[in-house]
Amino acid sequence: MTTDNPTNPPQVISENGHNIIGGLSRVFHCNHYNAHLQMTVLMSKGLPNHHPESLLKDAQTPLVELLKNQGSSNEDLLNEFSFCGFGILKQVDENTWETPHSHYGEAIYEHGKKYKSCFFNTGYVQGLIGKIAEETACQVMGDSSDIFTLHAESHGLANYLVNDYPLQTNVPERFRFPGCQDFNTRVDEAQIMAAVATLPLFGRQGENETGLIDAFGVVLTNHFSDYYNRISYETYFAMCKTGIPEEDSKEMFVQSGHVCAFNTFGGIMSSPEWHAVVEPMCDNREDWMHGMVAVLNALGWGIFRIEKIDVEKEFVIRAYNSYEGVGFRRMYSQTTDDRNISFLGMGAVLGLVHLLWKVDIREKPTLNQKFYVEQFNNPENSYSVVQTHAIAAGDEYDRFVVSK
Amino acid sequence: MSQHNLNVISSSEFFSIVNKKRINNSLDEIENTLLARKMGILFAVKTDNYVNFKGDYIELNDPQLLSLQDILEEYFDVNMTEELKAMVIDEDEMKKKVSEEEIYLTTRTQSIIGAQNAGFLGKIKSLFGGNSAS
Repeated sequence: MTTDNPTNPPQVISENGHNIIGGLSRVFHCNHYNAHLQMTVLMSKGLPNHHPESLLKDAQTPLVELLKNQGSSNEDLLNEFSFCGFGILKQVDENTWETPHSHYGEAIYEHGKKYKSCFFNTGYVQGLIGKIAEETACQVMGDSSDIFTLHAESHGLANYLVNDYPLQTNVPERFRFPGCQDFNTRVDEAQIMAAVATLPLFGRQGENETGLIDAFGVVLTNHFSDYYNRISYETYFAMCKTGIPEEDSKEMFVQSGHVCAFNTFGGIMSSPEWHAVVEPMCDNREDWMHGMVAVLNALGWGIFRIEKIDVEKEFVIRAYNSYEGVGFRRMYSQTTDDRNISFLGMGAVLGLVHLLWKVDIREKPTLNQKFYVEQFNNPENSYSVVQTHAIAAGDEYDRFVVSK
Repeated sequence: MSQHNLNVISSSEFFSIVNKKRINNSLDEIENTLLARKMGILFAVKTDNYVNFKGDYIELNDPQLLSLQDILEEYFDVNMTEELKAMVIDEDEMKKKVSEEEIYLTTRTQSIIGAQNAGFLGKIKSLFGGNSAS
């Protein structure tokens, strides 16, 4: 990672566990999560009254329009596209845009046949210009650039963030809330979060720049949390409505989080930055968990608090202002009775326990697909996760319990 | 109601061959649990019928066997036309397995219970309804 600063970076406000740009929450996620989530959404192609390709595209458009309403110019939005790791977006002519470098064109993958995969970029262009756009060439298909062609018609897409749901401001301090185990650790969360804040986790524009974020062995995006929430929940509800077993649908989304934990958390815990800053504070495996949760709290996912570590029985983690819970409440007027609903949180917390107590990341295993299939995700010795509290269900926080 | 042959294939053999084909094509291996869940969802979306891929055996009628080939090609980038035909367990072999282990009935019962929970019972019943296997 190089450390020179980007030109005209957008202002990022970090508060209450969220990283906010232009009024919208952003979350760091890797190419593996983006790939698996997009594959999961596209599995629903064919369900009645549900169009996943449109959903993947159109979910982004109102968010760009919200940024414009907040005062962002097109130049700001192009800067932000690169800053957040989506690549380089530029206009070719009146009706054509392109991304010669793009996260979705270069860094994601699929298990099946190749398809034009830059739905997000297309939706971004729609928001910029206000017209319907279509991806007409894609690097995934072997083209040299992703090309987006504008149609004459306006997109006519409405904002789906229909509720004002403020972030909780009185989140309890680490280890200081009723029910929390009495932990004894040298891990300094504030110091770790301050160190993460200095990392160059942004893309750059300019000559020889890609607008991508290569870090920790993955390709990161500082993505729109509401985009993730929209595409996840709309797909999940469509699957449920058709009668697909809830357990199967959920598992697909939870797996995306599990893959994310393996690659991103695993990459972070194998990085020189981790070994320089966090590992010296760690005396045991539990400390590694405290350290990784401290890093996590800088990624915009909310404020995670470890409630309990009982190696023989269970691990309990709360998430205040979880981006999934907050996003759910902003999108839907009714809360849900289903508390197993923060899919990314469930998969990520399960993955974190697996990284430490199933495969032991401290032994520096090679984190590749073979290891994922044969060791990390092997049903033998696996833990399971349930969510007992959910912001989406009206609770104060999300709460995840991982047990054998 | 049209009658179709019921084809039974071993889940573990099926997943093993899917992954062997993927690895031979320089594609990533996919763990069996994920494959099973994906296949179940894709089948429901594409064919309007739920098929349980999580048991020891997978039961498919002839049109479903064709759908499986399409799904494998589109979503997993593998062509298994010949392998699928070869994997089908013939009636005598299946009867032998049933008498030895009674797996078949158990698997079918689990499949129907699972489908009932999912709201697919009517479709499953219409598909397998009592005398479906010829």
